[in-house]
Amino acid sequence: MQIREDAVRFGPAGSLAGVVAYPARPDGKSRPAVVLLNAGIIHRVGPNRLYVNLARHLAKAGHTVIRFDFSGIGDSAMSSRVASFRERSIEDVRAAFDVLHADHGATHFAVAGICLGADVAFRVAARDERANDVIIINGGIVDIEVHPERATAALARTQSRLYRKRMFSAKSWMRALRGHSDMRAIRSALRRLVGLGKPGAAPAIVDVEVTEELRALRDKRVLFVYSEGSTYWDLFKLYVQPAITELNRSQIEIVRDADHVFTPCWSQDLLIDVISDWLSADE
Amino acid sequence: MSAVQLFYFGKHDHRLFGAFHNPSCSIRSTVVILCYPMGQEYIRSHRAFAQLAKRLCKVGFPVLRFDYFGCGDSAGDSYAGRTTLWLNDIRTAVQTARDLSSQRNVCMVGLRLGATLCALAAERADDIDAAVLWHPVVTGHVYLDELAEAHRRWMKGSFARERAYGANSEKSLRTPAETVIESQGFPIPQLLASDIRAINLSELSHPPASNVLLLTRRAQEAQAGWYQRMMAMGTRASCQVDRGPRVWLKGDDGDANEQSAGLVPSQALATISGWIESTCR
Repeated sequence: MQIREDAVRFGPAGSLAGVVAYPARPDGKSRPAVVLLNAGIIHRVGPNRLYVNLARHLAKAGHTVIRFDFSGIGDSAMSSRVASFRERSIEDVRAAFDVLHADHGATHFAVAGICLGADVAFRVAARDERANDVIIINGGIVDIEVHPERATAALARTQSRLYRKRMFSAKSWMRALRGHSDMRAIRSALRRLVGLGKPGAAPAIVDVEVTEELRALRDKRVLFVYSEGSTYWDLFKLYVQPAITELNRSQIEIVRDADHVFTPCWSQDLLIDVISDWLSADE
Repeated sequence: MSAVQLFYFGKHDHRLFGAFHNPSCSIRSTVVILCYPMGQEYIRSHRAFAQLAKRLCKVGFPVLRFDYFGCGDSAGDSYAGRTTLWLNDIRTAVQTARDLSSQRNVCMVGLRLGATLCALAAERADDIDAAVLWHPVVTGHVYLDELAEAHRRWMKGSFARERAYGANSEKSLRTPAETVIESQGFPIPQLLASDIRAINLSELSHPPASNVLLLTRRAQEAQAGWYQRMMAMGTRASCQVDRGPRVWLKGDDGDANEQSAGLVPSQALATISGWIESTCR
């Protein structure tokens, strides 16, 4: 399917900047419009230009897709409102819904993001009935600024997993046997591994707010995607997953051998396929 | 200050994305064109370039930032880039900038490969008044080796591993089997790698601009053959040392880290904008 792309200015005084990809000749089938949210402070093209590739792939499959910059990121102006990022970002997404409705007749939406974008997607979907599908990619969801000890706990688990992975990697052993390894680093890693121990069972600590947000998502379609290399997977397992039973239509996908922002090209291809397949499964 | 105008320009089958900063105060007689690096360096310097554009616009310079074909928001897949295309893209951007600003004088600013492309495009254009070459890639094959080594080092220290995915299926259209270098999230196909390998600033046969500022990490670069040659051709060139954070680097490369995508190299931007203010009308 041929697609078109338009640069758009929208939101208060046209302060928000984005690009909309859409089919040149829509086939008339009802599909959610997709909204892609900034991964941290990386602008709307996404890490490794992932959002551009994803948006075009989904547009070729018939979706209308917007990728835009939150206030103060990329080419979007800083909001004149004195409000927290949490509040502003939700309003920014709602403005994206409005412009897709006005320009393309979209009435229901899939909201997706990596990292910070995933957290915003989660919160928007819990608050806006127009967001029926939500794709959370390496989203921590919990507020680690309020609970920094949680980040520490999650990071310890990630490091433990990394060290174990390397310990059992044939390639790592071959390097060591050939004398190509940094033996000091290996000894240090072994000491850390012993010190960390095997992570115990996840405590069921789920914030009341998160539980309520999960309940608000009860009947929505929710896809969680986590990279094996992302600490946010450990955050999720420790502080969100115990309450996943609140959701009726959720799915969790783990991408092995991938880092937090899907740097290897193969992992970007895989992520695009996971998302595309999940969205089309509901058609 | 006016909002940044976002638009697509260029031919129908080769659309380029542009961001035009139009001053609301009195306008200077020179339009500035910013030429990004490629790949991961593009991602990590986008914020710095946006800040530079705002800074220049604030003192009256109209500024055009744009993405090459196959990069950023422009049309084209991530493996469709060629330096020959990108040199044409720069020329198209120059003309578009002149049309939008109604100014004839042009100053080009490029970072890393963007600086190299500026020099090559300006050399052929023969009508560029000023150019800022910010850490230019001088020799293409050295640059490719650096990218490959940076990728290898990053992969070694990260959770990520190489995997074959979709090599023999329709999925391979996005990551063709002929890709020779993977550079921290971006494929560099054979044709592009060949283009880059052929780059050598020592082979510049005409000066890129009447006035050139070289911003480099090492003062010795001013003694380099290509720089001396450029001066011998009559360019009014100056060289300044920039030891600020190399925000375009990903991973643990000395001063760079995973968070550097958000950093703004304020000192380098001040140097560049100061030079442009004093050099350009």
